[in-house]
Amino acid sequence: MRGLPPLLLALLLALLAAPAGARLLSQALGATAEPFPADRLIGLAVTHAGLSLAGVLPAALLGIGLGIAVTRGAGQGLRPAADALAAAAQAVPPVVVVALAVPAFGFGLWPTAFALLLYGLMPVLRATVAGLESVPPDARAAAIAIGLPPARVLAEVEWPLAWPVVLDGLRVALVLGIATAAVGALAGATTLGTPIVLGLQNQNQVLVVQGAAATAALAFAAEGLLLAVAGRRAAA
Amino acid sequence: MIAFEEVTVRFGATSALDDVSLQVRPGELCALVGPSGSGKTTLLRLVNRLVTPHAGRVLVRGEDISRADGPALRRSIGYAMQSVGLFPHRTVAQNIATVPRMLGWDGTRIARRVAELLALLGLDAALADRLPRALSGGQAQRVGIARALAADPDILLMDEPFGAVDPITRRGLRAELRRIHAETRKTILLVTHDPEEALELGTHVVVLREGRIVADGSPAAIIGPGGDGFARDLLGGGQPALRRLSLLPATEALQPAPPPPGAPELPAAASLADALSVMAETGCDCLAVAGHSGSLPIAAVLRGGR
Ligand SMILES: Nc1ncnc2c1ncn2[C@@H]1O[C@H](COP(=O)(O)OP(=O)(O)O)[C@@H](O)[C@H]1O
Ligand SMILES: [Mg+2]
Repeated sequence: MRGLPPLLLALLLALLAAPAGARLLSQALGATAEPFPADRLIGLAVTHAGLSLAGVLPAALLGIGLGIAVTRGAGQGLRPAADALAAAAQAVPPVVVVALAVPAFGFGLWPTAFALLLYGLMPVLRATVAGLESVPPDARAAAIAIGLPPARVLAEVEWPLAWPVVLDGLRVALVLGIATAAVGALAGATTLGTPIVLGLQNQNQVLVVQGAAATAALAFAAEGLLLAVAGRRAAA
Repeated sequence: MIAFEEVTVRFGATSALDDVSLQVRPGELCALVGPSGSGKTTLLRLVNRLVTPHAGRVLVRGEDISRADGPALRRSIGYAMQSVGLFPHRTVAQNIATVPRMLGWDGTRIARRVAELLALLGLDAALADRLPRALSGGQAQRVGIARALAADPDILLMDEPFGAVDPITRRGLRAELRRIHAETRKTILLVTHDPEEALELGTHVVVLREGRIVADGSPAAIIGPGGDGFARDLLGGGQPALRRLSLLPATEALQPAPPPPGAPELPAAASLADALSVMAETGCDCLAVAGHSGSLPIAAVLRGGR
């Protein structure tokens, strides 16, 4: 069960983010500020998760689609362009992307979703291409030679063999996306980044720790769930 | 059944096949031999259109395949690749069942066929649920042949199918292939490196050299005295005349005169080379043949079907 360690880690971090845990920590540090209440933290976690999905899901679909397209005979010419696009998307810091997207999308959730899409694209595209290229050439050649049409060569031979590598890319995109969504708080998205921003503004370290721990807990939980679901699929 | 008409295939600057014409009649087992790089694999891959000719035509079952649907054509022709290429994520049984499943066979029919093929190729039924990585090279190669045979195609392409098999299994598989061919009368194109295999299995032997056919005919004719020098060197093993005698049945040289009393008796299925061997061993220059009334004098053996 590959999903278990990240899920345990998520639980630990969630305990740290909870007001009781945060209060213990702040007392140990000698701080007196009030922690963020649990019900609001949970509400933020839900929007945070929703926002991350809204960015990472299209990134996954687009990355997988592009990855498949550029490894087909007809799409191979697009490969350098797709690589460049994905690399450029990753090279710009998230804060900058969010800031630049505000004029286009307005304040709120959308600039962040857009940034997450750009951020998730490269790991998924890279992993899809790497996974498809790791398929043994003999197996692909045999599939063609015994008469599988191109779509079935992909579905029955290439994709199952590429999947473990693609899954790693999806994990990276998901974890990266959840971590990056915190930055959205700067552009008016109410996420787990909100207590961090508040804490920084009011010099309340407890809020910063809570926001950071909750974000990390969410990221590990998502990773654990993805592994649990995908692992079951692979075993079936 | 299969016809190549003035076919030329080029890969960039190298010409893999050059103006090749060849007819393979239904039910023939056509053995393709030649040094590596002479175009054997390319000739095979023209048949299921994995390679398209630069010039000329390829006809399969009387039809020009340039107009055929590639995948459907390939499903109708069994192909055992030189590199085998089993699907690593699928079990032996699933590998074998690939084409029948695509053709929509029902589960029980597929299971029956898989069991039948495992038995035919001398594979333990317990291997059915293994993944290819748990097979030896020889076992994998046999699974590859089973996969090619699965949907019972009337044409079978085999590219050095026994390459990774040890000599003993190889001899067994060769006999098995001869039996499959004799029983099913499939049209088989067999690429081989092994001259003995070509001569023993082929009803028709084709010798390739640098993309051209240098010899094409029955095994005995190809290494016979009038044959192409290159083909005789390649297939004759330094003793083309002896090889040729081993391909001819002893009964072919039978003379009507009765054998002398006490003449050693050859089995009915013996070859002329067997006859020569018995003569060398016993010192007798005239033999009897089991079930036949005539005799086999040494002069007739040496004239051997000429
Ligand atoms: N896909 C290919 N691309 C480039 N050259 C090829 C390809 N396939 C075969 N060739 C060349 O064509 C010639 C014949 O190859 P092949 O048919 O594989 O020979 P054989 O099977 O007799 O060893 C060789 O020179 C080989 O290098
Ligand atoms: Mg070859």
